[in-house]
Amino acid sequence: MTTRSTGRSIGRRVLTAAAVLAGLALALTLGLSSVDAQQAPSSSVRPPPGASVPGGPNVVAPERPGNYDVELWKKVREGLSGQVSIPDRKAGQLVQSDGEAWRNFRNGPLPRVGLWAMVAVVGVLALFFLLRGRIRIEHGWAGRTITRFTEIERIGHWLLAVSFIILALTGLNVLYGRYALLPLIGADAFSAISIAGKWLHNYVAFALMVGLFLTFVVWIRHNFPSWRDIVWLAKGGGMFVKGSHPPAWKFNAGQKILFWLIMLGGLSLSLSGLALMFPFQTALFAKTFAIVNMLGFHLPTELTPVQEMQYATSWHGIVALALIVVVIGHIYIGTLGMQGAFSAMGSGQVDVNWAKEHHSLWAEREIERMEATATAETGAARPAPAE
Amino acid sequence: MRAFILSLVALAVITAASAVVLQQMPMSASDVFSSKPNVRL
Repeated sequence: MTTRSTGRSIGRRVLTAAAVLAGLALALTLGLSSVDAQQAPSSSVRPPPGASVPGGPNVVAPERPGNYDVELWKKVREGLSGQVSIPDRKAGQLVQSDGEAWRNFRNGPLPRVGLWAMVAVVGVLALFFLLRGRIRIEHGWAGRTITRFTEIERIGHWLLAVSFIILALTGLNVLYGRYALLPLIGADAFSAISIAGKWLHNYVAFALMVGLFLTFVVWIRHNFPSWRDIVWLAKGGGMFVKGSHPPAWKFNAGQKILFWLIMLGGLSLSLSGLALMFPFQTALFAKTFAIVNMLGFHLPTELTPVQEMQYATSWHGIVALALIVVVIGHIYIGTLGMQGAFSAMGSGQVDVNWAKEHHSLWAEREIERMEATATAETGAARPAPAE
Repeated sequence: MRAFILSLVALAVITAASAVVLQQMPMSASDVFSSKPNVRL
């Protein structure tokens, strides 16, 4: 019994001594490590050129010319690109200096010239209205009408017109909203309107494309140029001198020019808009520039995805503003500027005298066709003479 | 008038259809370049 208790006491002492020794060893190890860590030089500090790190690895910093930093940043500003392993390859370019030029254009000449162009066209139209007045039907209302546009033509026109106006208003908000709307309605309301406008702009764009396609299909055959267009243009369309109406078919030279401006401008807007809608995925401008260069130009054909986007936003804005200016003139002449013109797109019917004055060749052909149809119907309805 | 109303209907239908289709597609730089969660970069 005594021997057993003595043995337990010795074992307890040995365990206690071992635990104390282990604790001392651990404390000593941690303490020394801490001292080492405090004495080691920081690896983030770059030694001066030519110096070696005392106590560290035997690495000598490379000799660099005195203007090293200047040259480095010059290269960076020139668009020096590196390699990255993330999906966004354009992140390899530290500074895209073209962005500065793009931003200056986007916030400077583009909105400024666009605003002046819109104000100027409204001013010219107002002046024209004051001097010339409303272009009236010189022979008065005939009281008889002929069909100017069928229902499918008018659906295509209104689809194009309404979608264009929505896109113009939401697009103008992108360009001018911060200057015109933001101070009036405050940041919260402007933000809500701009976000809604952005989505509306994206979605309504496809209605514009459908309208473009529809009107192109139904009107293309009437819009090929002819020698009569030169006469019409030489006489100013008869708009400046009363009693002067150069002959025209269904569309006069002015309407043909408008048609092609809308079609080509609309196509360009659609393509650049799609490039903006699905960013960094197209090489629209590089390919276009390559085609244009066949005509002797020297436009850049190797563009980075960021440059493509910058060209797309600038071109989209330029074409949109140009078309808005053109369409303001079109709306004026189709409503306030010319008596009897709006009904062509309203009811589809126009007064016979209006048609004879503004589209004489077309009117004569339509009237002959109508009379031939009426004669045929009358002949068919008339009873056969008795034998 | 009928043509105008029909064009508004067409506008609404095309706009709604575009909204439905486009919301299924990547339409921003973050959508295009976002990496899948199971890919380590």
